[in-house]
Amino acid sequence: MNLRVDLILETEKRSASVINAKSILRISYVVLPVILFLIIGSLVLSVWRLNSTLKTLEDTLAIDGPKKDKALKLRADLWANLAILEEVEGWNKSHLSFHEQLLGVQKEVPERIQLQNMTFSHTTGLTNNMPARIFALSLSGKAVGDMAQSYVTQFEDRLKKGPAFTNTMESAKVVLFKRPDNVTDENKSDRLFQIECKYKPRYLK
Amino acid sequence: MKLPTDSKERAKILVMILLGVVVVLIVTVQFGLRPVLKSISNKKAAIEDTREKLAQAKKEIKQMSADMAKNAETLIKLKDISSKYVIMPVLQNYSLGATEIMESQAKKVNVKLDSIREAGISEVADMPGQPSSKRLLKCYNLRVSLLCGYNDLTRLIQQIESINPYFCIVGMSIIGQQPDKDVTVHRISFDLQWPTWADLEMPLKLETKLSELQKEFVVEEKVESNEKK
Repeated sequence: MNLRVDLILETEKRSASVINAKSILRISYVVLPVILFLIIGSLVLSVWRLNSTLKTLEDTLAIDGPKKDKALKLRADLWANLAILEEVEGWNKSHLSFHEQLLGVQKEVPERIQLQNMTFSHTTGLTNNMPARIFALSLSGKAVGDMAQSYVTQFEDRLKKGPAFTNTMESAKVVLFKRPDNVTDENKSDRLFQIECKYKPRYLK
Repeated sequence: MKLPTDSKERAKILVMILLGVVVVLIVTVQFGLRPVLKSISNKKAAIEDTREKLAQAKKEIKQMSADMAKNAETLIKLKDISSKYVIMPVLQNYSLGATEIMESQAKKVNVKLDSIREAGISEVADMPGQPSSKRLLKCYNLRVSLLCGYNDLTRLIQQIESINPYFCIVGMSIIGQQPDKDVTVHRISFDLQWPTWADLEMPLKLETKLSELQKEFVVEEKVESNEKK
């Protein structure tokens, strides 16, 4: 018969397992501080590295910053000068070539029309919220012969469609068409007329 | 240190140690790690911000020489227009120069001018949101009267417009003569606007700006060549 008697005291009992509370505690004494040290060390290292990077960048910026300010000042000067040029060029753009208009009227006036008065006028103001010159032309005279009405209509039409006016003229309208005051047998078919023309706005900017 | 033999006591001690470790960890994280991590994140943000500023600065600096060239070109153009086409008074008198120019142009096309009258200085037009007093150019107005034929008038106007594209004829009246007079000549008057600087110092200012820019250009070129070396 084989008899086993357990004579070990309660206090002498030890766990057979490799992992027990005491060993965990012993390992923790070493491992936890090491882990903490590694974490703190890596953090300090990255702070040091970031500080160094930031300093390098700030040093570069300290050199480039004033250069950038100079570049921005120069850009502001450029814009200011371009604005001056734009205003000056507005004069050129808003200018209406009068000699072309005079030649145009000369070319388009029908033979049986006698011009007696020709007036160009001009106003400035805001058109489409932009400063503009608006030119107008008033032509008055006499259409001679039986076809007086036809001549005046033809003239009105030519003032709208003639090469000198297509790009510049906005409207042309007969505002007066009447018999002359002193009618004789010779001029009974003649008619006095007035045509008002309005040019397209010529923007100053 | 030996742990107590009693399992209940031992458990209590272990729990206490565990609690102690947890407290130490919380304190370490709260007062040690968190500020460091926050500082790292702040530094990263600062680095990113500085990098952006630096990139912007490099971009502006790179654009600088092109801006400088364009600015010089603009100033040269303005100076040229100012000296050729913008009328300036001689001892506060505009009409002397203007009359001389008009008469010489009329002479070139064999037209005699009856009168050249000064009609003062006026504003061009109001700009939206900008009072006319802020405009850089004003109008010097002239009224020219003459008696001539239509073809002569056309040639005169062409001559005037060809010497200065900034002239602006703003009004014209051509009235035919009575049949008892020479019907080939007409009573003509026209109004001419001539640009003039609102600030009479403007030509001098343009000149100064241009010379300063040219000096700066030379300095920049020297710096660039030194950097290359």
